[in-house]
Amino acid sequence: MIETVRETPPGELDTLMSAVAHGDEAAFRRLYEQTSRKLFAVIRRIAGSEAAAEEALQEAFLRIWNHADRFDPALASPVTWMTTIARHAAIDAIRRGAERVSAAAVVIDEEMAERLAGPSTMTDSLAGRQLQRCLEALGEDRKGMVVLAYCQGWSREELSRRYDKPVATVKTLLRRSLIALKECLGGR
Amino acid sequence: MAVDDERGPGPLDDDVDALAAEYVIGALDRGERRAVETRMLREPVMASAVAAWADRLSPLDADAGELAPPDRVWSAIAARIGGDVGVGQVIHLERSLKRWRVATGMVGIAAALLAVIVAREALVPPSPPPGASYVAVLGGEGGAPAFVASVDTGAGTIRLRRVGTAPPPDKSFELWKVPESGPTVSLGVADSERELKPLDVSLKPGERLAISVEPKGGSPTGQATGPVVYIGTLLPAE
Repeated sequence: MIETVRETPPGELDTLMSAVAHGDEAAFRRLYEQTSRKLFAVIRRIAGSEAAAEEALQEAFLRIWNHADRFDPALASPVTWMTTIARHAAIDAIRRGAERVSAAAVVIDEEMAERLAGPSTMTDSLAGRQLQRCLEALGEDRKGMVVLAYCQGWSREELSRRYDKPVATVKTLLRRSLIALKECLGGR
Repeated sequence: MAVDDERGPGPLDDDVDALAAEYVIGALDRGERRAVETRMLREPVMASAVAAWADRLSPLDADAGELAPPDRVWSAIAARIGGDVGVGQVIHLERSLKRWRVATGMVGIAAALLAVIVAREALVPPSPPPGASYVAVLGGEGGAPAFVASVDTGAGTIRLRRVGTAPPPDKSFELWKVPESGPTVSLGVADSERELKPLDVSLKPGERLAISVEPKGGSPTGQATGPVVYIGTLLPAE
């Protein structure tokens, strides 16, 4: 089925966020309609199962509803703010369950890890190309750690197993990689 | 390759920034994350560092594309944000308090303007006489009125008439005075259709009354614990 998703007019999400912060349920419904596809896709990439993804999306929107007044349009775009919440909800969902330790999940993760290393729609934007370039500059393993953590919600423990390094080392490498990434991006 | 570089963590000139980065990529455990979230509320530096990192890494989201969730997800969300009370709109207390502060500020400005106008017309009214009466209509956001309160300071009573839905069977409505500053004060449980309560606190026009949903019998803490569902401002009665 081909569905046309109506383009969100610029600034509409900011207006909706502000209404949601005031408890406007109609605005919340509209915000959901505008953003749930994107958030669900981001969540699905982290969550091991459809059921966990649905639960995480529900949790994400409840957090958005409850904390909309914390959103500061001067600091972030609504989608970026909501995506961070959605990713954390998904991470909570997977770390609660035993899903991640199942062999099947690991295979899926490996496949996705391979795919993440391949060609990417990320490079469609200038910011995406810069980020891609700076991730490449980190080297294979460090790039993998950052991408697996961000895109698939891998914990330091999981990264430690995959890269066969102590958890403390993974922590250090992640921190260093992120700082290097920021420098590469011009400290912005 | 760079990965061989495994000396201990070097001195981080910006611990806030590194923490924000770890928070955004999701590398923190639950407790660490909560700590960052608490700091974000109190430390603007932390909030802006997190926002900057989220923005920096956001191109990674592009690859996920879009995926329509099943309709049941929205149904579940809608049930949880509005379904608990079954009447009006549920407003979270924290948020309501913020709004009250704004609203009471606006009432203050309006009162100041009014005072100027009144003074210019040389019709400065005396302070409210003993036995003044005030009314307030309490409603949910954009919703129909749910309670009408009338205050008789002479008799020391507050009369409450419920015109909306009764509370859920296992809950109580509780009436609160919301002063311009300081904590809210309980004026008692309001489960009956009509209530006549003794008024043992002072009330004045511009102050607000609110109804929250509490455990049966009223708040166990003396402060509202449940969602605030109705609010109204006291106005002088004719």
